[in-house]
Amino acid sequence: MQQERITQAARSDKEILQLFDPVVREWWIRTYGNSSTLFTPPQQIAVPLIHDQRNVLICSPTGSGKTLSAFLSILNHLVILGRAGNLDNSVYCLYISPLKSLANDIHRNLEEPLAGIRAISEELGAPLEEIRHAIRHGDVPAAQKAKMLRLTPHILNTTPETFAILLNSPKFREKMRTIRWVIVDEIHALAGSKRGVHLSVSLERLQELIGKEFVRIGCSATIEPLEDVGGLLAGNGRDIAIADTRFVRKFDLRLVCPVPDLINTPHEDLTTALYSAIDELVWSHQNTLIFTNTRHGAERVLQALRSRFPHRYSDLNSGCHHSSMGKEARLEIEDRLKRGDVRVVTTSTSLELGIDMPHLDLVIQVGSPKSVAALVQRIGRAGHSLDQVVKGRIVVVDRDELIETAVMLRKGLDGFVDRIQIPGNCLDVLAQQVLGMALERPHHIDEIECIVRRSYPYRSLSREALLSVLRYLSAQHAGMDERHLYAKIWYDAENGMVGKKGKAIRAIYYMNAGTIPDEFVCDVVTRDGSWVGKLDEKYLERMNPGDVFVIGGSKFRFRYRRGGNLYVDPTGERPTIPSWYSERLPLSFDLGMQVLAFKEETATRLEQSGRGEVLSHLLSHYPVDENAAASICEIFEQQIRFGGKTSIPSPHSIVVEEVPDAGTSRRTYYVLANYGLRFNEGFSRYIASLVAREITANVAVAAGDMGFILSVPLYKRVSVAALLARAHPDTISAVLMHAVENTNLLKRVFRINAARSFMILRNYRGRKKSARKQQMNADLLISFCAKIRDFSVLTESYREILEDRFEIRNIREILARIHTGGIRVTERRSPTPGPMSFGLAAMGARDVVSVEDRISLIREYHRRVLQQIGAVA
Amino acid sequence: MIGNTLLQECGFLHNCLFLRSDRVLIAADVHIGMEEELHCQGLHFPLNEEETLLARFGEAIEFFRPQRIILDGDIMHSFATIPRRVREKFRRILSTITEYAEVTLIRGSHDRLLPYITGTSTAESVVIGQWHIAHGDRDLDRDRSLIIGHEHPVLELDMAREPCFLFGERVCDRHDLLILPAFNPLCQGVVVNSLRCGELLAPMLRSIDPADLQPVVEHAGEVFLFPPLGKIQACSPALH
Repeated sequence: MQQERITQAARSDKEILQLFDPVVREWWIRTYGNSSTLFTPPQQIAVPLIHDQRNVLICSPTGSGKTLSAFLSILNHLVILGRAGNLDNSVYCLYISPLKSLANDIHRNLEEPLAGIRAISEELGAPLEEIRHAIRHGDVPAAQKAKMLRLTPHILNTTPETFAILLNSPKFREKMRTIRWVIVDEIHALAGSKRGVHLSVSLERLQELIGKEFVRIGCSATIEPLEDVGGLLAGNGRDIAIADTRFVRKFDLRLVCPVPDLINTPHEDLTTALYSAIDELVWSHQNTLIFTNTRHGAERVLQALRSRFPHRYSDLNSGCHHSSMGKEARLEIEDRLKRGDVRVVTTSTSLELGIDMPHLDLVIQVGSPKSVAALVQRIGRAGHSLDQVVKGRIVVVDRDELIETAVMLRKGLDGFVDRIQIPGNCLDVLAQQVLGMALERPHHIDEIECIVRRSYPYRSLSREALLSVLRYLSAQHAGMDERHLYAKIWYDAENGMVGKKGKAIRAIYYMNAGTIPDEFVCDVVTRDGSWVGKLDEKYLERMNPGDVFVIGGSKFRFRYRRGGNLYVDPTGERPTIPSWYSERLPLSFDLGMQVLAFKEETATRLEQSGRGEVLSHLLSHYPVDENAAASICEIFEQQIRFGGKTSIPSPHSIVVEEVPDAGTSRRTYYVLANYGLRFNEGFSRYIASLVAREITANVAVAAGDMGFILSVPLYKRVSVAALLARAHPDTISAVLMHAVENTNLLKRVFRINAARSFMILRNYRGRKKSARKQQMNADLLISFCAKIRDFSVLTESYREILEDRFEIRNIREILARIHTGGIRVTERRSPTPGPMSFGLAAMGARDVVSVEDRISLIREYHRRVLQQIGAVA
Repeated sequence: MIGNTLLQECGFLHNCLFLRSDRVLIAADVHIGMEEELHCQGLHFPLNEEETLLARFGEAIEFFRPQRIILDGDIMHSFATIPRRVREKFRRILSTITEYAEVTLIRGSHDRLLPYITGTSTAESVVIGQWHIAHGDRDLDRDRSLIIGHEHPVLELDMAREPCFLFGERVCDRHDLLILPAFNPLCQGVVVNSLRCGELLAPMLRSIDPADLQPVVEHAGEVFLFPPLGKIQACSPALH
C-alpha cells in the first residue's frame, strides 16, 4: 500500500481552476475570487487529487475550507453528469460523519454551493438537472426515508450506524450501487475506537455491493499516526495520499496558573483566584468557549461565574453545553454560539467536533487537556479564518497537571502529537458484520475472510479467530436440541457456506446493530429520600460503600446501591474519590515519556544551577506565565528537599515509595511511573498480581497518570523491584488476564461486547432493556462463558482490555527495559508520601486484585469481620 | 434457638435448608422457567437451568438423605402463561425429586397456576416441629418460629456477592426467623447489607429491623455464620 504525505500543492490555483466545468469555475471565482487566496492549502492539494480519482486523507485545522476540499471535485463531476442528462435516480456520493448534528450542518453547507451553481447555470443559459442531497439517520422520520426510494438523493449524508443498516436494507442498497465517492468526516473521532473498525468493514462490504473501487476521502483534525488513519480509510492494498496542512495556523497559547504558589495556597483562595482569572479572560474578549474535562466541571464553572460575578454573567449571556443536557437546550446554545450571541459557554467534550463558531475569539481550557490532539482540536475552535491567530489559555490548579500541561504545550508547539492506537481483530464487531453479510445472502467463508481482511484493523485476522466467531454465531456452545433458539447463522463446515438462520434475526439485527454502548446513570438519593443528582456508570464502576464523593457541590458517603438508585448520607468528610474521577481522560504514553524527560532535565538544572536558572529557562522555553513557572519550580524544590534528586522519576528510573500506616493497618506503595493512565491501569494490576501471589493476601490498587498505589496489610512487606526483576516479560499476558478476571472492569467490557455480539439484546420483542439490566445479565453470563473454550465474546473482552485499554505493548516495552537495566526501580521508605506523590495519595484505592478463589475470599472476609467486631467490642 | 445451635440443628447446602431432627429438606424460590423469561428479555445464551437445578437437588439430597422435601414457594417463575417447555421441565424435575422423598409444594406469589399443572397437592404453609414454613408473601400467625423465602437475600462481601440465609434470633414476637436464599442461581438477589426497617418484602416482617439478622453463607460445603448485619456494616471496608 502506497502512502504519500503531501504538504504542498502540486498545481497552481490557475491549473486547478482549469479542471472545472465552466459553470463551476465561474461560481468559484465569483464566490472566492476576492479572498486572499483562491484556494486554501487543503483545497489546493486535495481537489486535484480527488479529480484524479485518488484516495485522500485531508488533515487540516478548522476554518481551512475542509468541506469544500472534499466536495468540490465531486460537485464538479455531478454537474457534468447532470448536464449530459446522465444523473440517475441513485446515490453517487456518501458522506459519513460521526454526529447527527454534523450531518445536519453539512447539509446546510452544501445548499449554498449547489444553489450558487444552479443560479449561474441558468444565467449562462445552460440549466442543470437538480443535484439532490439528503440526510438519513435515526432521527429522520419514516416518511422521509420512504421518499428516498422514489426521489433518491445523489449525495447522502449519514452516520456510520445508519450506513451499516442501509447495506442490509433490500431496496435501498440497490440505490447505493452507483456510489463513486465516500467521504468520512471527522475521522479522528472514529479512528481510535471500535466505531472506526466497524465503519472500515462496512466500506469493504460497500465495495462488494458496487463491484468496483470507489474514491475514499477522509477529513481529519490533528492526529497521529496519520498513516494508520490513512490505512483505516483506504483499506489494505490501496494507495492513499495524505494532505497534511495542519501547521498552517498560528497559535497564541499560554499556560496560566492563578496563584504563584500552588502548593501552599489554601483551597478556598485557590478557587477564588481560579474564577477571577477566568472572569478576567472572558471579560476581555468577545466570545469565549471554556472546555472542562467533565460535564460536571462544565456545570460547576458556569455556576461559579454566575454566582461570583452576577453583574456580569446571567443566562442571557452565558450557557452550558454537554451531552447530558436535553437536545433542545443544546441546539439553542449551538445557535447562539453560531450567531455570536453569547459571551461565554462552558462545555466538556461535546463541542470538540465540527460545528462552526465563527465569533469565538478565545478558548479557555480548565485543567490539563490530557493530549496534544485534544488541546489543538479544542483551541482550534477559536478563530474562523486561517489567517486569524488562534488564541487559547489553559488554566491549571493541580500540580501534576501543571507540569504535564507545560510539557504538552511546548511539545505541541514543536509539532509533536501523541499517537492513537487503532483496535485490531475485534471479534464483537466482526460478529456483527458477519451477521450483516449473512443477512444479505449466503457467503463462503473464504469470501468473508477476504472481504474482512481488506479492512485495516483485520489485516492479520486468523482463520481460527474467524471460525471462533462463526462458532459463536451458530451457537455451537448450546446443546443440539436448544441450538435453534440461539443460532443466528448456520455454518456448513463441509462446503464452507454461511447463511442466516431464524425468522427473528433480521429484526434483531436492525434493532440492535451499532457499536455505541448504552451507558447507565444512577439516581443518587439520600437515605431519607431526597434526590441529590445523577452519576454515570463509569463512576460507579470504581466506587465502594464507604467512599465519599462530591456531587452538586456537596459531599456524600456511598452506603449502598439498590435498583437504579445509589443511597448516600450527607457528610462533611474529605472525599475519597476526586469529583472528576469518572470521566478522566488518559494522559498518553507518549506524553508521559516527555514528562519524565522534563522532570529529569529540570531536576538536574535545579541541582546544578539553582532556582533562578530554572525559572528563566521555563519562562523562555515554555509558554507559561510567571505563576506557573514559580509553582513548577516550587514542586521540584520541595521534592528535592524531601528525598533528593533520586526521588524524582525519570526516563531511566521508576521510583517506589513505601509508606507504612499503623493507623489504617496498611502498607502503601506509591509507584511513580509517569506513563499515563492506561499504562498504569495495566501495569498496576500486573504488579499487584505478582505482589498478591507473593504475600498471599489481597492487594488494593488505584491508578492515575503519574503512577499508581498498591495497598497491602501492614504486617506484609514486599520489594517491588525484586518482584519485577524476577518476573518474565513473556508472562505478562497471562498475569494480566488473571488479574482482570473477577473485576468490574471485565464485567463492564463483557457487557458491552455481549451487546454488540447480540448475546444480550437491548431491543427484543418490543422491549428495551436498560444498560443496568444488561449489566445484570452480563454478570450472570460471564461465569457460564468462562467454561467454554475460545468463546469469542469473552476472548474479545480480554483482548480489548489488554490491548486497547492497558496498551499492553507499552507495558512490554517498559518491562523489557527494566529487564535489561535500561530502567532502574528505585525503592525508598518514608513515613509519609512525598510531594510528588500527593496526587496519587489523594486517589484512594479503587479495585482489588485477589489472590485466590471464592472460598478464600469468604473465609478472609468472615475472619476479618469477626476480628473487627472483637476489636470494637 | 441461639446462633451456635443453629449450625447444629440445621444443614446448609446449595441454598437449601435441612432440618436435621425432622430430616426435612427445604428449597425456596426455585423459579422454574427463569431461563425462558431471561430469553424473552433478550438474554440469548443457554443457561442450562434444568441441568443446574437437578444437579443441585441431587447433591443436596445425596448429602442429607431427607425423608421429606418441601419446595417453599415461587416454584414456577411465570405467573401468566407457562410455556410447554417450562411445564415439561417442571414435571421432570418434580418427578425426579419425588423418587427420593415425599414432596410438598407450598404456593408462593408466582404460583397461581401451579395447581393446574400438577397433580401434587399444594399448600399454603406447613408446620414442622417448632417451625412454620411458608413462602412469605402473605401474612401468617406468629405463634411459632418462621421459615420463609421470597426475599432472595444476597450478602455483599468486599467486591463479591453471595446468596445467604438470614437468621433472626427471637425477632418475630420472640420467635426465630430464618429466610432462605433463592434456590435458582439465575435469580437476581437483593443485597441485604444495608437494608433498613420496613424494607423486607414479607408483610409480616415490616416491623423487623434487618440489622438484627445474621447472614449464613455456605460455599463448597463450608458454612459461615456472621454477626448481625448491623454490626457488619459498622466495620470499615478492607480498602483504606
